[in-house]
Amino acid sequence: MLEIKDLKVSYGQIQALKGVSIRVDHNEFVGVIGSNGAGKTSLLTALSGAVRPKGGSIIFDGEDITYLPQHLRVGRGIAIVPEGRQVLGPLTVMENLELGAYQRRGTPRALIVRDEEMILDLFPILRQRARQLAATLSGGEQQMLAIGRALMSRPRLLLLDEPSFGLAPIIFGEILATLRQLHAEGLACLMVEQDAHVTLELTSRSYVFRTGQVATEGSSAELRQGGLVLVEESYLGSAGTPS
Amino acid sequence: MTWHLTNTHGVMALIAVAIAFPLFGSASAVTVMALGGLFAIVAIGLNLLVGYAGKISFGHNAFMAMGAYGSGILTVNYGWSPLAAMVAGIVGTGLVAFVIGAPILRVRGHYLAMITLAFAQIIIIVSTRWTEVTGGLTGIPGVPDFSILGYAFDTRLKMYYLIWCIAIVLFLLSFRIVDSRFGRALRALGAHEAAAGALGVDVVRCRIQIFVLSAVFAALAGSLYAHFLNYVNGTFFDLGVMIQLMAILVVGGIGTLWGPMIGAVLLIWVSQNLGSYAEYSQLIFGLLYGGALLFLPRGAVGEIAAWFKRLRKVRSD
Amino acid sequence: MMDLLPVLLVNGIVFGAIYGINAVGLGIVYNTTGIINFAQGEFVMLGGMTTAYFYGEAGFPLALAIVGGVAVTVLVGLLAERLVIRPLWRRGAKDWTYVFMLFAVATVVPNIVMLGIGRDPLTFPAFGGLPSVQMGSVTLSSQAVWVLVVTVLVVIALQGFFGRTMLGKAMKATAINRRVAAWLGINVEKMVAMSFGLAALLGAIGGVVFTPLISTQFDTGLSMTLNGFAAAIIGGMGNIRGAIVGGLVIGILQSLSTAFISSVYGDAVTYAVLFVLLVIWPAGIFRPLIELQHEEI
Repeated sequence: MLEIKDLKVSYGQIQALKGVSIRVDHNEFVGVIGSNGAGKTSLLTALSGAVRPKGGSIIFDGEDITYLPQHLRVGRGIAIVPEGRQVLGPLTVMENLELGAYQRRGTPRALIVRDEEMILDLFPILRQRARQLAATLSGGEQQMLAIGRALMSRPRLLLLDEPSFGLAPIIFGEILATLRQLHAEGLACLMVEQDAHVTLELTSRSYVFRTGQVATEGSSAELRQGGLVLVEESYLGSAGTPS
Repeated sequence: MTWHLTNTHGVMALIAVAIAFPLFGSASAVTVMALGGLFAIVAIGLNLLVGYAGKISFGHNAFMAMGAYGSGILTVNYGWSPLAAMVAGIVGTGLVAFVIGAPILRVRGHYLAMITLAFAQIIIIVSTRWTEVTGGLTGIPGVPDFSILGYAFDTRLKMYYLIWCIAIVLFLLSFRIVDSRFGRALRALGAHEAAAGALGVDVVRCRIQIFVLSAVFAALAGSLYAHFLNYVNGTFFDLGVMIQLMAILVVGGIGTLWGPMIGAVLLIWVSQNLGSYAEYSQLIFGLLYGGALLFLPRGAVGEIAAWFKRLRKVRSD
Repeated sequence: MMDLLPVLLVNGIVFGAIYGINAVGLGIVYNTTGIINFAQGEFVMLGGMTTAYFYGEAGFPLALAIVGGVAVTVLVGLLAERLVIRPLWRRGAKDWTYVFMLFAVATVVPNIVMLGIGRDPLTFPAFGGLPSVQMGSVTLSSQAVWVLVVTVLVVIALQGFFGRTMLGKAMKATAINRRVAAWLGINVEKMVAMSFGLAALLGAIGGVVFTPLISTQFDTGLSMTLNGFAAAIIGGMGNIRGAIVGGLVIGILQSLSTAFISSVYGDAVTYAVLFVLLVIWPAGIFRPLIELQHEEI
């Protein structure tokens, strides 16, 4: 479904991605892990269209979207839950959700409302806070709102950028459970995460990034067991690895 | 930005042209070039403020007016010598710039533009209405010729040479400033103020210093203007002048050293050659610098310099 | 002198309403794009001048002249955005470039008007249709009533637009966070264009409803921009009701100072107030309702 080939991203002189290739098939939950500066966020930034790649290609459902303008990507079925949540603070929870469906604004109101209800069922605490300003929500609640907002566009691929950031493990655990459920219902996900352990638990397949390149890839189960050494190596460099 | 050989050649050429010009040009052409020199003086200072320190000012026409009125009032109404009046005017303007600069330079970029514009409008309005002091719309006629220690610059030609002498000196000074520690601090300021502060640049002091310096340049030009025309009138320094200054900076090249000089010469030539189209001057200047912003963002000097750099790169490959 | 107070206040309110509408226009552009529209006052001038031209020279009936005047102004606003803002936006120009560019627009537009239409002040008749109102010792002329009615209608319309329509909410979202807005499918470039169009519309409406009271001239733009800016600072950029209140404050201030301090220095007093305001409260008095998330200079 999503095929990234040899993607190169640079910010001025700094090469963030030096040619990575990633694949996400329908209904897969794929993870990308790696330390800070490994290029994980640049991957999603390029996927969302916020930066123009220097080379390589992004093919989604057979269409080359490498240089597609940002605002047209959600219409193709890709939704992003950005790093740091980035909810629209001065607007209410409901307004945030509503705007999540902006790209579907031609569809009948009833369908949108139905989807809003679904999200509120998924995250009951948002129902409680429906009329509150998004800025007044806690970190975990904002994360739920960000996910809900992304879901409102009925995406086929959900991009998650460091969803655990700044959240207490318990809170993040709840969100993980929801993500698992969504995945089970047929949503493909690409999650970029610092927390390798959690990622390898949740995903079926993962990539390990190191200094802008794919250092390792494989099924998360493999990576979890024997491959954890490889993961460590990628995080810490080749210094001091036991057999 | 160290001194290149081309710069030496350029300056020598500039000096040669400045000296020789009156031999070939008509009397009116000399007058025009003298005005060009005045604008160059202001532009050099303004360029340091806007192009290097990154602070927008739409109010420097007001500083010119202050310098001019200072000279005019002190020489005509109080009989001061022109040199003393000029110094007083410049110092006074510098003080005003210091006093208002301190609070307003904290303000965000766009707001700073608005606030300097408001300031300039206040000065122009007051100067054209405060009849008792500034002569209101009539202004102050009969400003004596400029003189230093008894030597009077009583012809346009002598003023031309004086103006260009000062302009070239200040031009060379700008090279020194940009290459100095102060210049580096300015550039750091212009690139990113917060970062500059973190790197140890005294941001507040730096920006006030450059603001005052640029105001002083403008006042100097204004004062010379008063003696050149033997007349001061607030309307000479209205918004139209600010537009010309902006056009000079943009067309010449903001943030380049040669930009203000080239821009001033180019544009004064344009403005004086409009002939029957004189009332189109503001329109033309506006279009010129709007067009420059769109198509020649680095200005004439900047684009030429970039072109040369590319040539050099190609040759060295 | 004190018995003049009610008249001065009312006068100030009428003028202030127009400054307020202009301030709203400034705020919309600033919030959506981060740019201060130095040409805002020119929209006011254009609205009045082109309507006066259509009515006077072209002989249109008043209603048609007004529609024409407003339409031309909006067109100019959209054109300006397309021709000079969009290219800068696309190449990621720095803030000062926009400032200089809009100042160029604010120079070119009035000069074109001066050369095309003329230097003389122009006006057109009051609209009629609304009664004049007697409030104690003060009489509000019919046109003054129009000003107030239009202002209220504009505020209501804008609140409906931003609060209830998808497009309005999209503009708000763009103002809050451009990147997120793009990810939601909002075409940010279109929002920028719309904000200029809206600002031009508001300016034109203000100019049209104002001209019968005070006539208009090619060079009234600058003072309109500065007064609008002062109003926006007081009320908070982008805060609709705040902008109107800010406008009223500036209008009343101007009215009172013209009467009590000096009629000669007119605008200078407002500018001095603006100056002092910005010096004491660099971020504006009421923080804008929408916190912007982009780099400033």
